[in-house]
Amino acid sequence: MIQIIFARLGQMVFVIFMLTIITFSLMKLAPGDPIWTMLQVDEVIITFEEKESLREELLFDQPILIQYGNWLKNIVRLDLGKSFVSQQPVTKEIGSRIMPTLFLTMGGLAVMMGIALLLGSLAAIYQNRWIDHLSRLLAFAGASVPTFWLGLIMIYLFSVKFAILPALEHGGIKSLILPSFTLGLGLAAVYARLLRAGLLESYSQEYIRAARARGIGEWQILRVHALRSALVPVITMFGMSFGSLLGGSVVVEVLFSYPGLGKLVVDAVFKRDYPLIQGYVLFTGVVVVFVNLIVDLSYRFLDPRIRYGKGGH
Amino acid sequence: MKKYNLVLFFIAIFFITMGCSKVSEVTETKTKASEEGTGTEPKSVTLLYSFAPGSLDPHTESITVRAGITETLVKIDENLEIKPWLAESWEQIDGKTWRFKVREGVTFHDGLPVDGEAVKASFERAIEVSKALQSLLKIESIEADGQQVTFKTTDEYPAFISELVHTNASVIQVNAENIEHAPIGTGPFKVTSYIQDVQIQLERFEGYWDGVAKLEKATVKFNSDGNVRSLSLQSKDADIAYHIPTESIEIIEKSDFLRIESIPSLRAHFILYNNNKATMKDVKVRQALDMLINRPVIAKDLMNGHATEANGPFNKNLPFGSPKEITAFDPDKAKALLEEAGYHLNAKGLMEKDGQTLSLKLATYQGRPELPLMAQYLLAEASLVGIEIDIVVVENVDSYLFENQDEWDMVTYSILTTPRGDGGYFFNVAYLPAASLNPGQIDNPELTSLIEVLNTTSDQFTRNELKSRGVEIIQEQVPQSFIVYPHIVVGVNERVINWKPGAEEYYLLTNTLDVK
Repeated sequence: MIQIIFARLGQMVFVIFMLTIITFSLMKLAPGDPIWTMLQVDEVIITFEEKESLREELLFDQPILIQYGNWLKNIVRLDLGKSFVSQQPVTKEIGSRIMPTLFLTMGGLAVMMGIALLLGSLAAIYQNRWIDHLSRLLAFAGASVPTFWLGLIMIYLFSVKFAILPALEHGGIKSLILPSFTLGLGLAAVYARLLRAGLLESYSQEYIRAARARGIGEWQILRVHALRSALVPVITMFGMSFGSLLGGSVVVEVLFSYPGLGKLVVDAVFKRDYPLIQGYVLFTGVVVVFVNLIVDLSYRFLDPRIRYGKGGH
Repeated sequence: MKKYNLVLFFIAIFFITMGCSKVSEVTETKTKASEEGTGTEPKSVTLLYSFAPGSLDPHTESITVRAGITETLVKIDENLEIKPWLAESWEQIDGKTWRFKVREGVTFHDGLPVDGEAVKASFERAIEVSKALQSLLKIESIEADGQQVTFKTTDEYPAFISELVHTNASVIQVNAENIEHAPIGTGPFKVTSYIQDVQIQLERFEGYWDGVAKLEKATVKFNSDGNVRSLSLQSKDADIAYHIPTESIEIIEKSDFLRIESIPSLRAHFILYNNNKATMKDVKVRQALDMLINRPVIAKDLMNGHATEANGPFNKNLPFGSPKEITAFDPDKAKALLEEAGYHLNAKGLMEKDGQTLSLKLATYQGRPELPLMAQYLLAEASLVGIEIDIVVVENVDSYLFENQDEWDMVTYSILTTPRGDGGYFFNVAYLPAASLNPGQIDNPELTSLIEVLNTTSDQFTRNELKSRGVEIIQEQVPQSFIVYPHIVVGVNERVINWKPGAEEYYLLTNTLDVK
């Protein structure tokens, strides 16, 4: 077990190193100039000389490799630099957004898991019955509806029409409900179908038939036997999509004025705030690799065959 | 039966996961902004603004003046004229020296008095943290003596007084501990809490020098999505919502508890011609294109009437705005001008000169949704007289224009032409050969020398004369085609009284703003 963890940590360093090179090059190749952002504040007369002198001051006139090297040197000292725009340390900027993003992500996941478990299991149990068709229909609808539209409809219904939930409140469970549903509904669609497929496969296994023969109750079969192995592909996919969920909830964050990481980084990209973008990539890289490590370890818990190193039936 | 139990089990899981144990919290009566102000609730408003600041540092962000937290030495009034604010009076000692008398009896939110030393310390910090302000104010030295503060600029700088209107020149208590989150200013409201990108909560400052605010509390919220801003107004989550998108205006106007306020802004939407391209160097071609812009249709149909047709860079309500009629839409005259410029219609119905058809690349960007529409409209009108236009939508317009000066012929552009009421800014950034907003390399010697004179002229009357002359040159030479002055469209709940948006968009929360 410890060997696996160390091997994964080694891989993590390599993955993150590659990630920094790719992002740094892409950012430098993309059109845009952070000097504009820094100087062109509220319509101030700026000359080219002033622009160029700031460029030199920030060492932007140096070759890319040297700029990259300087940045990497600071990273080793755990210094992610300062944001060009807010002049705040990048670690502070990212740090202040982690908790709100985690809350939103957890809210979205709770909605997703709730709906996926309900729809996926019902669809598997009542295969090819009306409830299965309904679940399929909802899954298609959920997967096809754009998040920004869903968010607007949610606000229209629950804030304007029924006036039961706030559109723009911050803090408390109440303010998390609409963003969580907007985030979770789209995701639930895919996971419900995945869970249904996994459950159907489990139900076709002999050990389920054996369990039924032993007179074990249907819901216990589902909970103890079928669901556990059906969850393996769901958890795998979850691990893969966790990173994008952390940063990819930007549409929801913009709609509901949610102070999360996604919004922070998208603003940073538009303003060419290199230190912040790099810091974010580094942070997300570490999180994704860690989550995947946990996902791998969780297989051992969910599926005893993996734990005992046995394959097949 | 067992299967039904299963269904019930999952329904239970579903509800538990949803967090419906908090259902009582969800269904409790929503405290609407509109319901406040009655009974014992404190009088308050929620203002929803589109652009969230990066912090509350008044020296790098504009929001503190907008939210009534900080104030500047001078301000502009509704006629865009400079008026005393924290400074009671001022005098220009010589070309480079300005002396201000700071108003007596003004205190910061922490109770400390505002004197010359406090103003000096604030300006020293401002130009240290803001490179933009440093370059704008050109301050060489500051001296304080009692309530007096004297600024010396590096060069002769007549525009200094109007540039002090800049929100980043706010006077703050520099010894405050957490300026980025809780600046201490002199305005009618003080910060009680701030969540970056989300909201600022404010309460009135009881010691405000110009009369304590009518409201006891205020909240400024931020949301960059126009539809959400409009919905929040309809759901009464906001009382005032800025920058309402065109498609929502009608819904708000029809509502019985909301109204729309629409006033011409200090911004101009225009087409900028690229002087690097041989075709665009010909003034006749530019004049012809200018005549193909149907300004009334753009203002009325494309912008639903929330725009004023433009005849130059400055709104005609300004002292240096031009009284001239707008250029009329006239395809026949445009065709005649092109013929004078040596073009003729070829067999394919396209304008041609020396074997080259008149094909132009028009850049545009999505940042302001009406601009790509204007580009399409111009494309359609230009095709009627045989001009081919190829529209290219770019992401980062300024970078594209500067880095690809050989590619584009014209671009839809938008600039706040009189940000602090003085048109000197626009002349400097848009017409000087090395200016920061002159990607089309406009280089008109007459205009350049006029700007040089303007930059050393103090007398307001002469300055306005010079600016008016500058506008005439622009109208003759057509380096840009000014199309419309877009309006600032604000949705307001009828309970809000004693409040109107200003064209300058600086002073949003005031001490006189009240609710019914």
